Amino acid sequence: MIRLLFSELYSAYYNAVARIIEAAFDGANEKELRQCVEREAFSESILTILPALKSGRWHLLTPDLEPIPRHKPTMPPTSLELRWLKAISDDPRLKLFGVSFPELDSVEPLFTPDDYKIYDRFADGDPYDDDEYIRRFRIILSAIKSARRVKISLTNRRGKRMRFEFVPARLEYSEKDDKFRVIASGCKYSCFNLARIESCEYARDKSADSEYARDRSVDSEYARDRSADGEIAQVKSVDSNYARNKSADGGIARCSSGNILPRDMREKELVLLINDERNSLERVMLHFAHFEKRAERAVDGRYILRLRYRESDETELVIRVLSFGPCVKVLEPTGFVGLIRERLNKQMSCEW
Amino acid sequence: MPYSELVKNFEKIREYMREFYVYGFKSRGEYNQKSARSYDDERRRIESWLGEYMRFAETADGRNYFISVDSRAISENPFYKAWKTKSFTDGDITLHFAIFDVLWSPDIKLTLAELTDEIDSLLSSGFDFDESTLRKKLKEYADEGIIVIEKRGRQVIYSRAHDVDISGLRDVLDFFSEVAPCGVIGSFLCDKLTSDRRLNSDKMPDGSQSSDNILSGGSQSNDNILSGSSQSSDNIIPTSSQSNGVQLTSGCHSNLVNSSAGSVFCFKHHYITEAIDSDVMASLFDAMRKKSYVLLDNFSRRSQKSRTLRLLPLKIYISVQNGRQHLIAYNENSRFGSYRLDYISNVRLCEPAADFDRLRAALAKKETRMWGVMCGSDARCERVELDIYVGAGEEYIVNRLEREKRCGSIEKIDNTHYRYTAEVYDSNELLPWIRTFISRITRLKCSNRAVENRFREDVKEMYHMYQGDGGDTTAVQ
Repeated sequence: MIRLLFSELYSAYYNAVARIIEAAFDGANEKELRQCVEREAFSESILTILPALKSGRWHLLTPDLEPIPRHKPTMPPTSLELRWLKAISDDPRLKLFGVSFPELDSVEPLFTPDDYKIYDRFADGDPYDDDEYIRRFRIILSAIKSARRVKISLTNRRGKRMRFEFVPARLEYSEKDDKFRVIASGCKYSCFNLARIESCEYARDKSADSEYARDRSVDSEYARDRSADGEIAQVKSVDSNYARNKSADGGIARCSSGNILPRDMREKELVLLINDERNSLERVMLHFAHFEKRAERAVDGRYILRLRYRESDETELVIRVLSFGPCVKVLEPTGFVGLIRERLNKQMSCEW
Repeated sequence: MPYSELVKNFEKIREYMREFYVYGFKSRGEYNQKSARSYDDERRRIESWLGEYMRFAETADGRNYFISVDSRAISENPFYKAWKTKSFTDGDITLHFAIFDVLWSPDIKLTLAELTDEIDSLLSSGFDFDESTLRKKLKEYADEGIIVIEKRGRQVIYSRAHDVDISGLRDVLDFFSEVAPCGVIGSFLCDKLTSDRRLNSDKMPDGSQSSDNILSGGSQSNDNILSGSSQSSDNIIPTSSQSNGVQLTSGCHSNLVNSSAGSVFCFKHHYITEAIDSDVMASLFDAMRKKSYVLLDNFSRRSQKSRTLRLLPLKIYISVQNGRQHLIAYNENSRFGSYRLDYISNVRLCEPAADFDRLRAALAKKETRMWGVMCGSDARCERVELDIYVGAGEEYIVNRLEREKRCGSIEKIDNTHYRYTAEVYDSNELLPWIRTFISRITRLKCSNRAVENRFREDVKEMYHMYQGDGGDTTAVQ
């Protein structure tokens, strides 16, 4: 039988002690050793790890905090770790990283693509076999790490070629969409679907970038309003949106610097009333589990779920709420209720 | 036993974590399956591991603790921490570091007696252990693959396994530890890179690092410099959802940048709760690799009891839309069944199955008629026809149908209508998806009339529910 995952070999305490011994080799003082614990372990670990080492209960440091081992600690990867690495070598997304695992040829994979199926992933995922896509991915990845600006171009849904320059901040991957998006800093759009980018190159030199990077607050103008289909829909000025949203439902958000966040970054709170029929309580709670959320019992035995969502995801969220049928009712925000009501009115007017 | 952050048995903590994360509205008194002290200890542990994500709400019944994570604003699953809390003895940890210090290179090969002497000398008799304890530990490590045991004549020789350089895999590990099955194992590997990560994050953007990437094709640049230095945290915005003493602190775009120093990736639609079922999943994968039966304990929601089942695991079905994972297995009733991973525990490997390949092939044939995880008799398939209105400029709806359908076909029936048709084992499973098209459904025909009727009733009920204010706001206190 496979060795269990729940083993002290992978424990935060073992990792912390390894770091402490490493640091002790470099002459770290007690404060620095304490920092190792804080970094590697948990909030109360400090009460256990250093006292155990200092007292000699774990006979690995001298009372003077010198390391007893003669070498900095290392441990080879376990079979389980190697089997997992071997398993991901079959994943088509691995091509993005340009790595291979020749040392693992004789290792039995923990699983193969035949052993599992992601059955509800959207079918139009990114083209991980496309050399151009891979090249763009690597440029973005490298640019994020080195804080370099990139120049990209893409064609919008109206067929117009558009060019942008920005510093990529993160690559966001959606497991449902099977797509990467580039989170942009210093650009009027906050993100771009990587697969829709047609060309991507480094821009300017780094000296200019460092100056640029100091002000990575979001542009006061933005032009993005993402529909549920991930398309760029229209260009709006931030001022008009600010005025429009201010009275609506508190969707306005400002950075401490005073800049207004683009609409797709702003958050709102959705309040749902859940009838626990057809196991809907568990289904709803699990379905929305990836949001920051809070649940409570209502006075009538039903349940209230409050979650925070980004305004740009509103259409998607409307669809997701509808999927629960009458087991879930939206209480707030008012605009969201209106969107649901509008769809129901349309449905009632369909001949079905 | 005095309180400790560490635990011996993960199963004990698994249920609490799930309750705190998925539900989070129960008070202390409602965790009645365990003693009050057990509840206090487990809650304190989880708070110690996941402090920043643990919240509480003051209610009339006391404090209700819950875990709240915006998984889009993190780059490492916080539940992985729970897998790093296994308890151990003073002897375990001391021997561990001593063994690998003496056997610091794979070229060092020692007998048990020699190793005992070396460890004794290293620890200067500051730690008592006997040969049998050491032998047991070495055997355990050999099973883990980190110690090699060889026989030379009558002598047994011990050495450390060969190291594998993973220093060039940081991005790979950061990404796959979040998206691949059993990703927690990738997180274990990431932990080995922590020193590198810290080192790199201290470098200036111009720095570069060379590495002998044994596991790297070398086609990627190694300038592992993080861009965190230019990001400030002052864009984090607390928002106004405070109620009953709880505040949902809203992050925003800057959270993506600030909260996850060390990784260039973040994740949307990311269900992190599956992490706590990783051990079950790994055991089931192992059984599939060995084409073997398993015995497992399966909790029944209906009876609220666990029952031991003998199954032949065939495939794990993972949802990226509802946060559930199922095992599809061949059961004792000679049927394919689906079993939720979060209800499974204590998986034990049994004998190999001669007909594993045949049964897996049979399952593959069935997959063309499975919308979700239900598979049944081909003779009892249900036919679903769904007509959708698609107006001018609404081609994105057709795209939606194409990318979201999991089986079946789509045809254009006139200038403004498309028809989705499928034969499935359980048309009930399609209902949530069908409801997402509310506002443009012009016809739903299902051979299972109960499903068709339910959809009609649901839409009517929803319509009435949203007319007027419905008085439901009184439910909110």
